[in-house]
Amino acid sequence: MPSYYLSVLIALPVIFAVLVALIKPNEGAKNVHFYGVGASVIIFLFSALAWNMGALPPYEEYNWLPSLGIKYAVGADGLSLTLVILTTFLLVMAAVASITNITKRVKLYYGLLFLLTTAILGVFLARDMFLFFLFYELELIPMYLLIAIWGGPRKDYAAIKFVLYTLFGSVFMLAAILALYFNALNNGAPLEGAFLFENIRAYIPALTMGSQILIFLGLFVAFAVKLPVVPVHTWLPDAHVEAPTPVSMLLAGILLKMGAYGMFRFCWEFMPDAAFTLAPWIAVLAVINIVYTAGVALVQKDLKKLIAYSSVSHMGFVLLGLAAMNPAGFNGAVFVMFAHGIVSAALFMCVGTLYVRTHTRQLADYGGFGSQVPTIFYFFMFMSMASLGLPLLISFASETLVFYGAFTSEFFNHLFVLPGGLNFYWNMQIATVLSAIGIIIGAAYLLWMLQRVFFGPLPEKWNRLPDASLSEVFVLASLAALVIVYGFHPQLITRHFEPDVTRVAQHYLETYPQQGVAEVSPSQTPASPIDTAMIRPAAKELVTHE
Amino acid sequence: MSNGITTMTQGFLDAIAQSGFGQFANEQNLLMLAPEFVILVTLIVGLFQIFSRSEESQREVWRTALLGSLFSFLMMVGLFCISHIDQSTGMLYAHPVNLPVFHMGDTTYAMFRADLFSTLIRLAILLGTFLTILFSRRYLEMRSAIPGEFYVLMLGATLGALLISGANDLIMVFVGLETLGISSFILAGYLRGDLKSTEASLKYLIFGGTSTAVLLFGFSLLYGLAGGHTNFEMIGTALSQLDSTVFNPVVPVMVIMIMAGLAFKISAVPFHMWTPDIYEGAPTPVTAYLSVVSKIGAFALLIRILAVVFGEAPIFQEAGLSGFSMIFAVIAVLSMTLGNVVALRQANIKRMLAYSTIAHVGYILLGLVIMGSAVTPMLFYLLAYLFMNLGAFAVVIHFANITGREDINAYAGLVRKRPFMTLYFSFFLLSLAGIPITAGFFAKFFLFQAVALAGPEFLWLVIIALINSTISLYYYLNVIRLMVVAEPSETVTAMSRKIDIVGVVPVTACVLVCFLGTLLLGIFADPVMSLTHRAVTQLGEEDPYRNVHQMSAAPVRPR
Repeated sequence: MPSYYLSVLIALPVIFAVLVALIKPNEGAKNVHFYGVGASVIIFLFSALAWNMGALPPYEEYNWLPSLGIKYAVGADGLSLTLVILTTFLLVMAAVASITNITKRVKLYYGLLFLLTTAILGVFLARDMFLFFLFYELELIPMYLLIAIWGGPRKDYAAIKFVLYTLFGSVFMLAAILALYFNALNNGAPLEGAFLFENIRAYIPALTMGSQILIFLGLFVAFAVKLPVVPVHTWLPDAHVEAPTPVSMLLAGILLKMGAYGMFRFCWEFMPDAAFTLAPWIAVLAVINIVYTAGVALVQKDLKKLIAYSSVSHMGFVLLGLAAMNPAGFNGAVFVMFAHGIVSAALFMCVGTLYVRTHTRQLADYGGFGSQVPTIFYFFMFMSMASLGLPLLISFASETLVFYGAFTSEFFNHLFVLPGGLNFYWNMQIATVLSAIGIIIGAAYLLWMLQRVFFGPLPEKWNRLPDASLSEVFVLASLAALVIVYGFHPQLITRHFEPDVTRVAQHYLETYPQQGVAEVSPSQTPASPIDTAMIRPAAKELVTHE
Repeated sequence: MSNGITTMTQGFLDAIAQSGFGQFANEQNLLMLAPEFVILVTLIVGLFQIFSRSEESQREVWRTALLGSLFSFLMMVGLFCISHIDQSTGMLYAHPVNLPVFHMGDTTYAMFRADLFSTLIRLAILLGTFLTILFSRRYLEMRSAIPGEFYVLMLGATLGALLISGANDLIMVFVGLETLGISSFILAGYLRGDLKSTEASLKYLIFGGTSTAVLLFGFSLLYGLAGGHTNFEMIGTALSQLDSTVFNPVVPVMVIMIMAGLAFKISAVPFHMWTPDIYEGAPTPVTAYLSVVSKIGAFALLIRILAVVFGEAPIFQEAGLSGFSMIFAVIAVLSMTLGNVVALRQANIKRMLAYSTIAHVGYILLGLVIMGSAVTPMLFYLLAYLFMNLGAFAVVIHFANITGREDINAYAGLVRKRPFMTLYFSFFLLSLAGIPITAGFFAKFFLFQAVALAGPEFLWLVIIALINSTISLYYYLNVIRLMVVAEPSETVTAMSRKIDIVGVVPVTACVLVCFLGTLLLGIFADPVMSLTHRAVTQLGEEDPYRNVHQMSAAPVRPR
């Protein structure tokens, strides 16, 4: 593997973006699409070379701004590479999906799409926190324009909401990164490479617990906006509804993974102490994310909004896996990132195929499509089954892993004592059981959605709908193939990221005590009923484990 | 990579050093003013061409001014290379070179210092002048204004700006400021038939005259306080010996008058009222010139006065946020907030850029609150600002040349007719907003970092500045959104795809230079930062030539 491989990989989409600008202005849309698909296939094949990297992960490092200790450092471990492959693969899928969905200003579209790809690849591959921040910000402009130009009727609102939410998070992230940087310098880190991941990380234990938690929260808020986590998730359904289908595929498939990746990398891998302390609260957020958004999806009238909320709900499993803090939980979380990338992209593609035919997304307008568009029906049904966790499909494999990890996680076990004898425990087992409700609701809204779209009487006006075109079948079949292959044989994908992810989890297992499921004797409940909610960390005397 | 470039530069400089020119340059001090002489000669040649009364030679003035300013710029680059090599080590280092003009006893004092700081500022001023002259021609032709005097006046203004950037004496400051000011008053009203332009000129004259009077009054008090000295260093020494325990009411009055006079020149709130009207009314090249070149000169003067004159004075020695640094903090916060908030509602692109200028002045003023470590990023900010703002104005002029429109809505859908122009304009606007990998981002980053590191009591300034940057992003993005997202306006629809080569080439050249400048300052921020750092370090240093140069027939050679 040549040493400049990663830089070329990051630069390749930009080069294609410049080349696309050189196409003649009056070139037909078909030829531009041909170029765009071809370029994205080249990017995908080039990134696939990384699978054969062997024992030595690629890494590059050059001085950039030595007076501040900023380096241009890119590298790839298994986690990064998995997400890079997912990115480039979905880029090909989005490019093929664009053939039927994007008809105006095609040149500009591909230019922005490739710029977006560069920014995302940079985020996954950066090994310098400053560089990471730059790429994270760089993604804003192309995504804003992709939604604002090719979007639906309320595109301006959706696009600016997306930008403002992300910028809001970025301010916290910048503050947290600078705090970590100054901490490293103050504790005697050399200025050279002060922003490098390993350097920043090495000095984190020098921080007091209070500042670690503050910095953790700063980073968590920034990535929670992208993931998205419930109080700051409202930009996503708007963006999805207005964005064109290929952009929705990338938004759900890759952009949300930037948040999940950042969260795993910086919050959990770099700051285990803070993560361990805050885990009970993260678990609360995860349960709310899964159950609440599933409930919201249940009452949607807009098909795309329903899928968007289901996408948020499934991202909640990433949070649940992270809160579990054991190998199964972490691996499950990363596997859910990958599985969600494929399944949600496929679902948005299905919605897109219906939209280009009917120009409506209202569920009330649909009905009886099963006989009209059997191929789309087949794929939509298949992907819904994958999404609701049918065994032997990819979501089942990943979510089962998260559930297993969460259920066996014994890092915390808190007793809440409420007035009137309403005591309850809060631990991962209870969180897992509550999250399972989300799966049931998920089955409900997906099956109900299928029923309303494909069964029942067919409205008169949809009498002559054409079935899926070749390019649509290609996209859906490719995604379906992955859903089956990785569902049957998850090791094909998990073996790439498993060593890196497990190493992070190993630290938690070795460092922090594990509590059994505790039993509390009545004498240990607080006597005073004035304490409305007392949070008691699982103390030594409660341990029954061993 | 940046190391490689530094090494290459070093090698180049070594070659020059060994050729023997370096020795020559350091001894012949007057040579350091060669760029100013070139501008002066060009100005005189231009005057002769105007007086010859033929249409031909009127148009020739553009070429004369262009070549003159280019030659002057290149000469400045050459002098920069020659004079900034340490003979013993071969390292890049500036010998502060002075122009001894008068002597007291056996000591000689400089009226003008050609140190690294003023050299960098003069490089920026000359480059800005060259680019402004480059893109002015088409604009004036379109408005059938008499072309001759315009360039002569612009050269006059440049001469003034060059003089104040290295001025080390109150007399020199005043001469430079007046040369810059009077030329600018006339330039602002150059479009005689245009009511707005005439109004701009008159307003500028009245406001400018008043502020100069206030400044001069402050100077007279300073002259008295310093015991009859006009030289900056002498005044600095005299001020530092003032008894700080006795309250002298003249001192704050003097400082406030000088600061008010200079705040007018940099259009800081609350002395900004003239800015939007004059920027809107003046011919656009003049607006570009005023908002970039004369701002850079005025900031250089302000920095030098604060560092050299007041640097040692007891009233400026108080640590933390108190006294005069608090005044600067308030002015900075007011400038950036008012500039950004009012820019949100502007419909005219020149007015929007005028208010954005006020906001940027606010950011730069943050450096004056801290002084010391924050002056280096201020200088970097000025250099970045030169490229990004001048580039934005070049596009505005180009668009006005084609369509005659200046309202923001006319830019709608520009990407379909002029994709590259849109790309460059977006890049300049993003740089002004401080989006990463542009020069503007690093300028803001370095400056805010210096302020944040100065101490926890300054943190609120950084927070306000960050909030302001977010606000500014909205109106810059709005222009980009209009150009890229919106459906084409009637103006853009009416634009022909055919490109007028004669008008386009100079503007495109200017835009490309600014684009490269903005991009490269972003990517290779580090070498430039170390250069500005050295420049600023020299600023407060003792003048090593002070006691060496004599106004005698045979000057003593410095050893």
